[in-house]
Amino acid sequence: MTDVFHNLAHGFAIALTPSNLLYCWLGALLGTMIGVLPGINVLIAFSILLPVTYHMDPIGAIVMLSGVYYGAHHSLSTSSIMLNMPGESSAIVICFDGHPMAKQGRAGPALSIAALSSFFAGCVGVLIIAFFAPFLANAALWFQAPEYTTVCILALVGASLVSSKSKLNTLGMACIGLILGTVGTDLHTGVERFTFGNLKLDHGIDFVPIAAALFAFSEIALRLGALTERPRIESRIRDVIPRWADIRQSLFPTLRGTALGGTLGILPGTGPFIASYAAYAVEKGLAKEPGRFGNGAIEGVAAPEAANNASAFTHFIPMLTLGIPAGAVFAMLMGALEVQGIQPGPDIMVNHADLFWGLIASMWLGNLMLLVLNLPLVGVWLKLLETPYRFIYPTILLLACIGCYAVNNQTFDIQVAAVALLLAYALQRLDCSPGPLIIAMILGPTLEENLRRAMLISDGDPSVFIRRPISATFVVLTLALIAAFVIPAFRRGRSSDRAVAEGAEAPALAADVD
Amino acid sequence: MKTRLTASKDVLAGAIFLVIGVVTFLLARRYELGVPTHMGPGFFPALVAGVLTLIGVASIVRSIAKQDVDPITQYRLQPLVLVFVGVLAFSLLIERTGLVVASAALIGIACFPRLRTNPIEVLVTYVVLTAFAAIVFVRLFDMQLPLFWWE
Repeated sequence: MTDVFHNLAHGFAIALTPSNLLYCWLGALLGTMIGVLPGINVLIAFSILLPVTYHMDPIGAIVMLSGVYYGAHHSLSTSSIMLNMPGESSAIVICFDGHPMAKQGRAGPALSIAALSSFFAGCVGVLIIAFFAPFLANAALWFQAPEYTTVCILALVGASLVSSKSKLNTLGMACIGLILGTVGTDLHTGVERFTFGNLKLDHGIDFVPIAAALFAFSEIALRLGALTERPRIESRIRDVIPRWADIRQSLFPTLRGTALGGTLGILPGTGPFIASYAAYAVEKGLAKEPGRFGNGAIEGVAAPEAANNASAFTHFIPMLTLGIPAGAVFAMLMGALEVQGIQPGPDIMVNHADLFWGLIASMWLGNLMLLVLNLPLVGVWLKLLETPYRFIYPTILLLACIGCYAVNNQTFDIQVAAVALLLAYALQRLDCSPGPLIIAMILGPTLEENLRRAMLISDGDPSVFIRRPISATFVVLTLALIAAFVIPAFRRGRSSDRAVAEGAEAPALAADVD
Repeated sequence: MKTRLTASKDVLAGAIFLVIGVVTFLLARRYELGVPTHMGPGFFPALVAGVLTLIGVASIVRSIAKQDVDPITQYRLQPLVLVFVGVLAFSLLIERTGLVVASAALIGIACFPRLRTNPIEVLVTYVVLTAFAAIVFVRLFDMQLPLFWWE
C-alpha cells in the first residue's frame, strides 16, 4: 500500500517536469478539440499523430497520446448534448437525455454535470489503475504461452462481438487483420511470407497506413458520399453553473456509473459503449419515475458520462499489464510503445517504472487540466463544433498522408494506404466494423508466437488450453461471450437484432443518403 | 455517380471473405505447414485463412437462409474515387516535387467539386494547410520531407 503512494509520488515527479507537463497539456487540449470537431475521432488523430511521436521520447509520447485519448472522451459529450450527434459510439447514450436538456434550455447544467462527473470518474479511474494494475501484473506472472494465446483470442472475439455492426462480418475483419499481421519475415524460420519478392514488405506491413486507410481515408469517402447539412446549435448557454438540485441528483448516479465503468473497463475487449449503456440502463431501472428518462433527466447524463470516463481510464490496465488492448485505440497505443522499444506486459512496472507511474500521474494532472479547460472555454468549443466538414477533411487527408510517409520515409506506405482504402471502403459499406482489424493486426504476431510456443511445450496437445485454470477461464469466457450474442440472435430472428443495432448507430452517422 | 446494388450486404461481405480466405490459404500452402508441435511459417496463416473462409460461408448461408434482402444503401462513389486518386497522386509526387506541389495535387483533387464552385476557398485551405504542415512537421519536428523539387 505504502509502495503505491511512494510510486505515485515518484510518478508525479516525472509528470511535473516542464516537458512532460507541456505534452500532457498539449495532449489534453488536442483531445478536447478532437472530441468536439465533427468528423475527426481519436483513431483518425492517432493515425496522424503516431508517426510524429516516433521522434519524441517514450514518456512524452505516451503522455501526450493518452492525453489525446482521454481528452477526447471528456469532451465527446459536448456534441451529443448540443447537436444530438455523438462523435463515437460511447457518446450515443449521452444524447438520450443530454440533448432534451439542451432543447429545454438547460444545456449549461448538462455540460457542467457531464464535465464534473467525467472529472470525478477520471480521478477514481486513475486510482484504480494505481492500485489494481500491480495486482494484475503479479497475476500476469502466471501467464504463459497458453494463457496469452487464449486471452488474445478473447480480446479479439470480444472486440468483434461488441461492435455495433454485423458481428459475424466483424469477426471476418479480425481474421483479415491477423493475416495482414503475418506479412513479412517469419521470426522462427526466416521465411518471407506474402511479400511477393517486395523488399519493402520484409519487415511487414506497418499498421499506421492501414489505420489511416481504415479510419481516416475511408471515413472521409463515406461521409462525403452521404453528406447532408449539419444541424445547427439551437439552444443558448445561459449558465454553466449547475443548480444544487442538479448536483444532488447526479451524485449517486455518478458514483454508480464510475463503479460500473471502472469495473467493466478492466475486461479486455469491452469498450466504453457497453459501460455507458449499462450505466444508463441501471439508472433507468433504479429511478422512481423511469418516464423522466429520455426527456432530459440529469441522471441520464451523469451516470453514463461517469461510466464512459471511468472505463476509458481502466482500459489502460489490461494494455499496460498484459499487453492486451481493450480496443483499436489501445492497439495503436501499444503499437506506438513497441516502436519506441517498450513492450507492454507484466514487466513494464519493473523495467519502465518511470513511464508507468509517470503516465498515471500525468493522467491525474490531465484530468484536472480538462476540467479547467472545458468549462470556462465552453464558448470556444461550441464554435469548433460548427466547423464545416469541408475544412476538416482536407486537413485530415494531408496530415494522414504525411503521417504515412513519415513512418519509414517511403512513399510505398502511402500507396499501401491508398490500396487498403478501396478494401476498407467496401467492407465498411458492407456492415463490417474496422476496429478489430487493427487490433488483430497488432496482436497477431503475439498470438501466433504464443500459439506456437504453447503447442511446442504441450507436445502438440491442444487440451493444454483447457487443462490450465487461467487459460480455461479465458476459453469459457470466450465461449460464453459467443453464446450470449449468438443465442438471442437466433431466438429473436436476425432482422430485429439488426434494427436495434442500426437504431443505435443512426445518430453516429448523422447522415442519410440523398 | 451512384451505385445501386441490390444484393444483400452479407452475401457480398461473405464473398469477399471467402475470396480472401481461399487465396490466402492457397498462398500459405506454398510455405511449409509443419506439424502442430513445430509449426512451419504456413501453419498460422493457413489456420486463420480457414477460419476466414468459414466465416465467409457462414455469412452467405445466413443471408440466404434469412431470405430478407438487406440492400446496400446508396452512396455517391465520387468522393471515394477523388480521395483514392488524390492520395495516390500525393504518393507519386512527394519525393519528386516536394510537399508544396504534392499537397496542391492532393487538395485540388480531393476538393475538386468545390474547386469549381468556390476556388478561392480551396486555395486558402491549401495555403493554410501546406504552411501549417511545413512549419510543424518540417521545421518543428524535423521530418525528412522535401518542400520543393530542388531540395
